[in-house]
Amino acid sequence: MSSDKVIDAFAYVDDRYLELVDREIPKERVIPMSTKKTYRSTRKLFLIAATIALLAAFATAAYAVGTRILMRMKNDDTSSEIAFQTTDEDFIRLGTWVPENIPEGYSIDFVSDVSGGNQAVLYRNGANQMIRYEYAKADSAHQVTVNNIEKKETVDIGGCSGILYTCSQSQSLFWTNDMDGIGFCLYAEDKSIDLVAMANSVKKVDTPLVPSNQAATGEAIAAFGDYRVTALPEGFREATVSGYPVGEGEWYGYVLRVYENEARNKQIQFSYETYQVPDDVQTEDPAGYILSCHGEGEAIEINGMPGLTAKHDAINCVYWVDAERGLSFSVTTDACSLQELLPIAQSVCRAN
Amino acid sequence: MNDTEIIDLYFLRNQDAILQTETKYGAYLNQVAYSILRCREDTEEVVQDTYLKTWSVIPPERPNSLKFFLSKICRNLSFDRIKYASAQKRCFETEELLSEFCELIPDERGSAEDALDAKILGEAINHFLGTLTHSDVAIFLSRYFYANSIKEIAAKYQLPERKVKYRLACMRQSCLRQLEKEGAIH
Repeated sequence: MSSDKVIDAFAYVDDRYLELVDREIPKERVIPMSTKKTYRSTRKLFLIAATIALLAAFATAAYAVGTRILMRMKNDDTSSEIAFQTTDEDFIRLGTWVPENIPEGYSIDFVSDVSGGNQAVLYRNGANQMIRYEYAKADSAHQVTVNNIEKKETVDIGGCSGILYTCSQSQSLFWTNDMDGIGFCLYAEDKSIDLVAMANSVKKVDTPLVPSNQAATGEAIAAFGDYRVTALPEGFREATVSGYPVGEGEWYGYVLRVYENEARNKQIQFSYETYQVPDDVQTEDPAGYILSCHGEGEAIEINGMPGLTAKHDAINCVYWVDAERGLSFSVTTDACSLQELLPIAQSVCRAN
Repeated sequence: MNDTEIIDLYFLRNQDAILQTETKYGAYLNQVAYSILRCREDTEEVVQDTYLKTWSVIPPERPNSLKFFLSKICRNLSFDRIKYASAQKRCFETEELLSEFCELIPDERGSAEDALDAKILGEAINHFLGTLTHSDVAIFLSRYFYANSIKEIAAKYQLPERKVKYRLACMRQSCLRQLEKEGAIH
């Protein structure tokens, strides 16, 4: 039964997230769902808090001038938490990093998209054994916990130090590219695989890896429409677009476009998603109900549609609902004020 | 007594460790187990089992956070009891929660699910949590880690129950999308 697996998986939830459950959240700060819309921004906010915590809790090390990333570890006898922390206020470009040396019998099984500032590639062999390769920008708040450690070794990967963990049923390798600000990890179920050789073969390539779910993004855009922000502030360009259509028997789908300004190291996120008013809610105004789920804010109109402006933490948000098409839109950023964000929201147009 | 001192007692194999754990975290563990089991008798047994299990794993383990270490053990033991209980013995709240877990990874994903590793899935869930606002993390984990009811979550975060329901429904769908996108499920 799949629920058993999910229940077990929650035992691996990081303590830092469990701590959030105990915190008192004032009503006005509770903001509604749309996981995608605040993706990078909330990660960034989390990073600030996480960095403060990391500085206090994680092992620290001196680093050379020019180093843009630090690998921090919080260790005990049998487990270790590894986090990549930025040391640089400037924009870090993820790029595409691929290992050339793939262990015999393994081939790519899955490639994730890069919307979260990281990308994962799964390799599998004929025996269904898996190698997971992942690379992340230093500011992507990427954190991994390794348990049941039997052996821990420091290794050299391209002149940067890495750590190889041999665990009871797997092995994991973590390393950084200090100058580019990228953190890497490799996880293999087969303990005989030479992960160091695989890591040393990682090269930056010009051609991006094609995400396995790329078709899903196209399907989502085809299903919901190709909406874009047409009046981006100066210096912003579209960095990623991802999405997923509504599956059979489901009701939720979305498209997320992330615009980045590299010089300012800022982002604007634009998303649109389907919504559903719960069966037990009696309302003649579904759009109003969906907007009310975004918390308290000022009522506005965006191109004739009902909307709402709100500020959540340091993030300015504009929400609006197209009740005719059943879509809920949002534009969020900490790059400009609400007043500056409004014309950006109003510039959203459907290209098809 | 602080957590480090309590953990030191476990390492010294001093049985006061259990007493101190019970004094400090007994009420909390009762809450964790009861939310899942909704039965006082079972809750007491599970909490006692939690102390025994903790005694058996510390050492060698030295938890970073004793509170969450205990809560994970208590939660696992509580759900183990639920999994093996017959459907007739489960209350409505538990059935509702289990059906929501099924929504996170639908049963029709069975073939891929067999190969699923709970740890990989757990990491993917951590990645998903990293995409949420703090308040959504709190609501999501209140429901799926602590098994709080919708009513309890609504009261805790001062939200209407219907909004909690709606947000959880959105997050379940979004979590499934994230797991698919990360390759945690196919």
